[in-house]
Amino acid sequence: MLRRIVRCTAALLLAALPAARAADVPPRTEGGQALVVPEVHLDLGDVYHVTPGEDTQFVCTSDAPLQHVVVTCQRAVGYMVSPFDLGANDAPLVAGALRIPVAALKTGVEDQDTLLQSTPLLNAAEYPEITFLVTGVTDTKLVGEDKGRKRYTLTIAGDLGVKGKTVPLAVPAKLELIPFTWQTMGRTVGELLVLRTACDLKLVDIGVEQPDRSFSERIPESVHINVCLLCNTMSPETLLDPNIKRPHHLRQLAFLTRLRDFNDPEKAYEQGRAFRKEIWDDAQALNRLAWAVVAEPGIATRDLLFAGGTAQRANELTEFKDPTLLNTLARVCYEKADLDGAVKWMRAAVDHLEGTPPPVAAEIRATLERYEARQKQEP
Amino acid sequence: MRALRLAAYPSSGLRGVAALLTLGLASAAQGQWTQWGGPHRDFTCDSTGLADRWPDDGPRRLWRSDIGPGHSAIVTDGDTLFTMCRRDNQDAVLAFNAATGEPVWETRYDAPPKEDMLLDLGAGPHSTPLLVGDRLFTLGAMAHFHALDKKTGKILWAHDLAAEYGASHLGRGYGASAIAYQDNVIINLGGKDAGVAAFKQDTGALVWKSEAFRGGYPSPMLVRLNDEDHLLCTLGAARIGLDPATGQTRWKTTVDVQLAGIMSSPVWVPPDKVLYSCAYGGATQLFRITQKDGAYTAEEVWLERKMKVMHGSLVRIGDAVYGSSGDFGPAFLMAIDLNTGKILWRERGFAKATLLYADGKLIILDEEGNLALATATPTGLEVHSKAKVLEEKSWTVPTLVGTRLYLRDDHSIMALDIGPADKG
Repeated sequence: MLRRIVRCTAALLLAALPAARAADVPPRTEGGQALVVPEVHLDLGDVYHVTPGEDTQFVCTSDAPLQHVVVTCQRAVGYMVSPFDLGANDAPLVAGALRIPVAALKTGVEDQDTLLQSTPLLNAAEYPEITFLVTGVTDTKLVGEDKGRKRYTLTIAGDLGVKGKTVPLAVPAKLELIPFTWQTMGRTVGELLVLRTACDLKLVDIGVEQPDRSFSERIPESVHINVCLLCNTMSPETLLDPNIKRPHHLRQLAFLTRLRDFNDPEKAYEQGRAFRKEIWDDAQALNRLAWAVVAEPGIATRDLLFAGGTAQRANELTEFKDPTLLNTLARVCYEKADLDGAVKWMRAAVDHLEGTPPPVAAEIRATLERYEARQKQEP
Repeated sequence: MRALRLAAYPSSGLRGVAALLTLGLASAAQGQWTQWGGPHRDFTCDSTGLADRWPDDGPRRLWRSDIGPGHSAIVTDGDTLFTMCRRDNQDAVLAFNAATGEPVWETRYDAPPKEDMLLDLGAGPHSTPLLVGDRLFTLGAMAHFHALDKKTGKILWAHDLAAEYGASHLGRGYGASAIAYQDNVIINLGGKDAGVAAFKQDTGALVWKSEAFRGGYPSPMLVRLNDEDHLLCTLGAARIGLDPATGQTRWKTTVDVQLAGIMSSPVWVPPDKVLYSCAYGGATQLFRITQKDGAYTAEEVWLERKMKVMHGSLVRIGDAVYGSSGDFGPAFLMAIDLNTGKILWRERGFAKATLLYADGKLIILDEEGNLALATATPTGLEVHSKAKVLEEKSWTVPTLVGTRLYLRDDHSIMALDIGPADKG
């Protein structure tokens, strides 16, 4: 079988764009933190995955006479494709797609978040994601080049999908390709693509309605959207720790995607319980699951019973001798406001620090001090 | 001492008898794989009679044995296999019966990690033993250097390179493999006082030290240039040619610091060029070594940033070099044109991989444990067979002796027969 060799020619790039127009936004991967990149896009060039969870990717400003709301999102996933061999006149972007969970749009005010997800506004129940598909790039201009970094201005055309509607957009953008250097490694490893754009969006165009007349002074006709996407050739699902089994890693990511990004605790913990059965004899995997439930940022519903049972089992398997696992058990107690339990397990963790890397040991000792201080404050 | 010493010559026209006699080297006997990179230290070997394709579930497995963690490749005198693994805070040197996989002996020594090491990816051992006559030379991740009796595993002499010579463990553990030259064994030090050093094979006495260079993962290699032996070393951002008899620097050049994270072994391109490939924002570079008025210099011929081989092996076939490019992102199997530095093709079908070349075929082992048989040409890659044979984290380049392929990961060491299925 002669394997298909990826060759990047201008003709191939141009031919691919119509195909992209016809395609839907690809589905999420098994772990949920990236999109399945279609073969036609893989052949076009290097794939840069959107990095969720670390930056404010979207800022949507709603500025009405009687209400100013800033909505942010950190949990968009997707990819952008840049040609393998980028000629001087080539567009640096030839394909791309995004999925944005509506439940991950945050205003900082719980009632406002609920309103945002309600039927008249974004209707998260029926349309849990906003999507965007790149359909074309025009007006490309290379505006700077230095030590392998290339900066472009361009216009990106695409289809925005909101509430089941497809809205064609064309937005001016800035795109920078940044090779991996020892300096960029301070932020993240991998080759980077940063895409910035901003636009105004009429709410009527995307099917957003005022819940009732009382909102007439609170919801404007249009909102301003700022976008900054850090994209990386390293997928957010890449497993850097060789001690973790990849299927376990993906199951845990899928659980977190459901729980944190889509705020669907019922289905998420159902997934979590099934996953826990699979890893019932794997102390480290159980510990990672329990730790995610108690400590992962952005989770609205933390099932401490589930986390506690999971951490308990992990510690039983290691006979309550592994300080990092004891630390998780203590954290569960702490989150339950069981300060005596938290201090008890942290003391056990400190008693078993022999052989623990110094930075980890220092963190465990500091945590014990924090719990003890808090315990003293309680009556 | 037996006369058997290792020729480190790439497959080139320089494998003539006269050249070998000049070096005092003898080619490794058929049926042996005694050093990093194989008989010619270039991941090619002279095996013939390989099958054209394998059954769907992979080549026939002859045996499998348990082994501990580590990335040391396997060397063999034909009868016994030698490699290394980690046992808690000790390094273990292991010998297995090549025919059955039965353990023959195991020698351990204490090698606790240093406090300033980063061992989240494992505590090695990373380097591959060197077999010369009856002696086996080993290097552990904590820079312990040993000579052992190959029959018994008895330690003949030892050096703690960090304590004695300030050798660098490079954070993630010492990783270069030793090479034999005349009666010496040459190793990277990467210390404040010396970059490279040679020791007597029989006594372990220091013979020479080079000038100081930073530590480096690529293993040193010997080449013949202008009727002289050159030791190619790759240490930090320095690309170096030394006189292997004295350690004197013949030439050196310093590359951009972004190319200092090099791990893969260089590729010698006779008569006067050497190719380096480096991940972590690196590139593939070709240098030409020239001599004028008795002085050597190295000049860059081309640099291509799209091919970045991390720790896999590179294989040269004619005017093309093949390697697995990628570090944290996806890996591409790639071919690059030696004359122009142009990428000839790229293929997404494998995770980061190591390569061997024999009998006109490329043997590919990717880090997810997929083993493949392929034909690579400047125009493309034809994969004939592919099967999962190891667990994930298969970073160790296989060893080929005849039609027997020896493989390992952190859990298993095994022998596969990659000859025709009806052979036996």
